[in-house]
Amino acid sequence: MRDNVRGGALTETTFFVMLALYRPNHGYGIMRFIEEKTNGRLVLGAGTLYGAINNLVSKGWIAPCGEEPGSAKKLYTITETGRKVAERELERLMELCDIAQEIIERSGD
Amino acid sequence: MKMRVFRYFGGFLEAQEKWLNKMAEQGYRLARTTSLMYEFDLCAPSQYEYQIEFIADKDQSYVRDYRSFLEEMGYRTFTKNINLNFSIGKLRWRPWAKGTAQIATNPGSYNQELLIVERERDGKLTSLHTGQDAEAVAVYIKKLRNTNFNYGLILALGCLLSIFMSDSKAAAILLGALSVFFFIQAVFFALALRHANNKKDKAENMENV
Repeated sequence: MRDNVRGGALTETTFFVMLALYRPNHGYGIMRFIEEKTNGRLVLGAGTLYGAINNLVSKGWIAPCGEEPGSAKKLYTITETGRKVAERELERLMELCDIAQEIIERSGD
Repeated sequence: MKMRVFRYFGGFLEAQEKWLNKMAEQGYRLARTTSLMYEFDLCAPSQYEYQIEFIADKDQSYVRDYRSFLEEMGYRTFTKNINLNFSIGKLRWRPWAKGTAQIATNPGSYNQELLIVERERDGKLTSLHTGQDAEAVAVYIKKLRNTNFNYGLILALGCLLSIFMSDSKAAAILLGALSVFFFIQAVFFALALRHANNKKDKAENMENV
């Protein structure tokens, strides 16, 4: 996977993986989460997801948090740093939306 | 019921992937691989699909972790070689070395250059990655072509020497046969390299658009 951050913005994949981890989740769960939330528009390949998870772990934005009881699947959760990054991204996107809305709606008049 | 098929694809990764998928369409599911053989179990036609990933440039611990991640997702994985060599597991025979040095151990993911990933066909055609690293594949195959060519050359020289220097016909024949084996491999990899380079160029053009 290439850069998570380009010009301060997160890629869609990165942001979605982080959002999926506001509650502890495993790889398959993350994949399903993204598929459901986007109604199947964004379906990650397993290799891509693996790369994204490792990348975020090494950045310290998410962290492993044990195994799912019964299945021994590795669980991950978002860290404090990760939450801050996600909040900043939300602000950035809201700002972008405001600007876009203003311009696009005005052009319609 | 098991079925065994002997087949060697070398550096032609896509051909191998296509073939495995064709077998799956006909109701054969991969059970085991060795360097030249594929063993299949029977399954329902088109129940599974296969993808091949190039992992020779990754280290052993990455591969182990990645495989367990994929198996957690419900996939099955097999490793496969690209190169053909005289090795059993991690042991390798080096015919040109002296005494016990003829037996060497292999580093890293030797003989496990490819990962075959099996998953249930669910109609969603997502690839493992958005794009294979075509360049890494090309670089690797080029290295194999050169190594095999060099082995072939050394053994051919050895063959000539043994013809002129000694009376042992057996040695000359053995060295000659080995030399031919490596030369054939070298040609095979040269062809695969051309294929890989074409693919790499195509991928680069796509990126530039």
